[in-house]
Amino acid sequence: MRKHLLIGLLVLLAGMSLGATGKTEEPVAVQKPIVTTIPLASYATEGWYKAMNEAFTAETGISVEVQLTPGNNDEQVAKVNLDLLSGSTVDVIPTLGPRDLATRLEAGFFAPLKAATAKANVDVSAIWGKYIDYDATGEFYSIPNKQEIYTLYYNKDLFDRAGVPYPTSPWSWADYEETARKITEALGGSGYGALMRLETPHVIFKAMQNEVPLYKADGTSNFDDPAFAESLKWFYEMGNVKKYMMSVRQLNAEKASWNYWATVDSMAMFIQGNWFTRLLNSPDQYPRSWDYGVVAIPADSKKNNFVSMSYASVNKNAAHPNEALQYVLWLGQNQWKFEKGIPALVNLTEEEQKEIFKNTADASGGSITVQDLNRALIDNGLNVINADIVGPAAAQYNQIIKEEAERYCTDQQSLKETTTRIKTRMDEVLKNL
Amino acid sequence: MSRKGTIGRKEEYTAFGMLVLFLFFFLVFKFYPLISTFAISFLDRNSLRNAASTTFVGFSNYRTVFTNEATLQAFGRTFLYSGMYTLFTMSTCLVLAMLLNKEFRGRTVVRTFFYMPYVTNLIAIGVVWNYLLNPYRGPVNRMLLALGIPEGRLPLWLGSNTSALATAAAIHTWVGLAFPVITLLAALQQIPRSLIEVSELEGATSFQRLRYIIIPFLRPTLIFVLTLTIINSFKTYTVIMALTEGGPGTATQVVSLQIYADAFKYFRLGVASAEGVILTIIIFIISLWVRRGDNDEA
Repeated sequence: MRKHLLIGLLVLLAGMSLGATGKTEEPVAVQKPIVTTIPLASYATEGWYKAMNEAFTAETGISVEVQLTPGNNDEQVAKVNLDLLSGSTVDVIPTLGPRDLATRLEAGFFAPLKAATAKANVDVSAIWGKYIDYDATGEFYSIPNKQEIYTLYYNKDLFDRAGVPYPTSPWSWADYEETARKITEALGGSGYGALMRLETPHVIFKAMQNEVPLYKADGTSNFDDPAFAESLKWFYEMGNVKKYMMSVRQLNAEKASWNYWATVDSMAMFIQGNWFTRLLNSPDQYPRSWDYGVVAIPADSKKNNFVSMSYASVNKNAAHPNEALQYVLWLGQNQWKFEKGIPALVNLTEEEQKEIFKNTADASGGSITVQDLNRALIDNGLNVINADIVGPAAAQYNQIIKEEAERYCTDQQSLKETTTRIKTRMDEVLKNL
Repeated sequence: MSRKGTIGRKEEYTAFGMLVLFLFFFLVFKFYPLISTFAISFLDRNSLRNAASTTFVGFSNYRTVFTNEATLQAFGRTFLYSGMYTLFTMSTCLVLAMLLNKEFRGRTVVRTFFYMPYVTNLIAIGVVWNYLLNPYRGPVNRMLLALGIPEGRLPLWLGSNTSALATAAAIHTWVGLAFPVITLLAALQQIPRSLIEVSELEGATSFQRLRYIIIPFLRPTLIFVLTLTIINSFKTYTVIMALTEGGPGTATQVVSLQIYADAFKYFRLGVASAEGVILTIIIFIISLWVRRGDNDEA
């Protein structure tokens, strides 16, 4: 009986195989043009990303195939780099921030775009101008598609409950600290005046904002500059001593990504790139019970704000280089419309300039206005500087600062030990480069 | 040719035929990477730009490993973790195996439950334990608080540099306990019942039974379990990644995490390979030492 069943099953499988092979006799359909890309998984699952690719397909007839790479940004970068290292033929590589862009450029992953864009009759300097990342020879390998400008988000409900007026710019770090104190005290343990996380630039915010160099002229680490110790001490005291914000230990226990904080109603102020507005304006995905506002970040001696650019490049081994170029150029001009972000364009019309913030303000449900956004992000009296550490072994520098700052903030070592260890470890890395 | 010889050769062919598949996968997925890692550890592949470099740098990568304080600390931490994990595992698995060997109602269900952590996704386990041991809002500390332990003296579990490694080792023990327990349980069931009965008739105490009958019978299995436990402890990666990602600071940064960071975060493939080779040698020496100790004793 069992033998008969087995034979029957084999015959069925053989029949199915024949049926399947029979299909090859049908005429082969003409392959549609495609472009493949490998974005951060969290992006690819957001509605705007799908809508953007559909719009590109509708306009050009080129389908976009998205290869999902799970993990947070660091994990995704590592995976994509490994993929590229092993000769991946994925067409378009998005890169968030100049640090990772520099690493990838150094590795030679991308196709040069100067001749290709000229051949396609695209005047990049007229469209992206100063935002193009040219190398010393005038070549470039990426097209910028957005700017992430830092701003301070605040929870209006907590300010109201604490009876503290909403912050206005310009303001100093002393004002910020005082505001955080008032709110923390008024909330009586049910919340915090501020939220800053164990990451750059947050842990050394003031030093980076004041443009204290991270490298010395001789190429070694400059972390023995007292400005870094001051910044770290301030960060430590805000969480561990004054307790105006959660300590690093508390944050570690939460194990939460930034997205989580968009839903929490116990943090009065937090500094983040303007991408965060998208989360606050997506109550379906990130439900929240509070109203928010935006204001320019505080500044002391140097009036600087942080910006992080985002880019798209064509893989030098791209399977579809022409389609990839089209997609990269299109993203550079259109991604911001779908993501509700800030473009890196120099040729915006007056209407487009208005549109940048209008859509965002409209989506906020009355929380913020176009004027609020303009004052917080553009017309804020602040110059823009890089939010990333850019230089030799930047990724390691970033990680070493994080690890040693965490040891300091969890009382494993003193401030002096922390800055010394960061410098020593980094010098060793730089020496072995 | 004799009939016996023909049969023997046929058996040999069959055996080789069956081993071919294993050999193929072993050569491709184990042996080749091992040789490759060894070779890369002598090459200048320490940046994305040089990821395919064939420049021979001698023992330079090994020198970097032995002079890098962070890496040496990671090795030290790995030994500490291994010691704790091995101690926790070996001390509990024998006791649990003996308890599960007893006749009681619901024994099958209990045995099944025992196997559950072993087959559960490690990331899910990490999330759950992080929730349970959250020092500020977790149920474990809330329970301790209810029992009267003052708030300032509540353990920080995975959040403290002094307790994170031990906590991770304990959770890892819980996750991996099923295999040694089931292995020892199977070995326990091989002990002739008559021997136990005779010892009972002769008036042997429970400790004497354990010392003179059970342990000697279990010795080969215990050595096998001990060897695997030590190897697992040195190779641990996923459990710590899921629980602490090496933190707080570098409190749980063991060698496998260091190797991953060097290889895939910083693309220092040469240095990461040297670390991998050193780790392999350490595991090999310890395994050999354990086996040799067993042979000497025998």
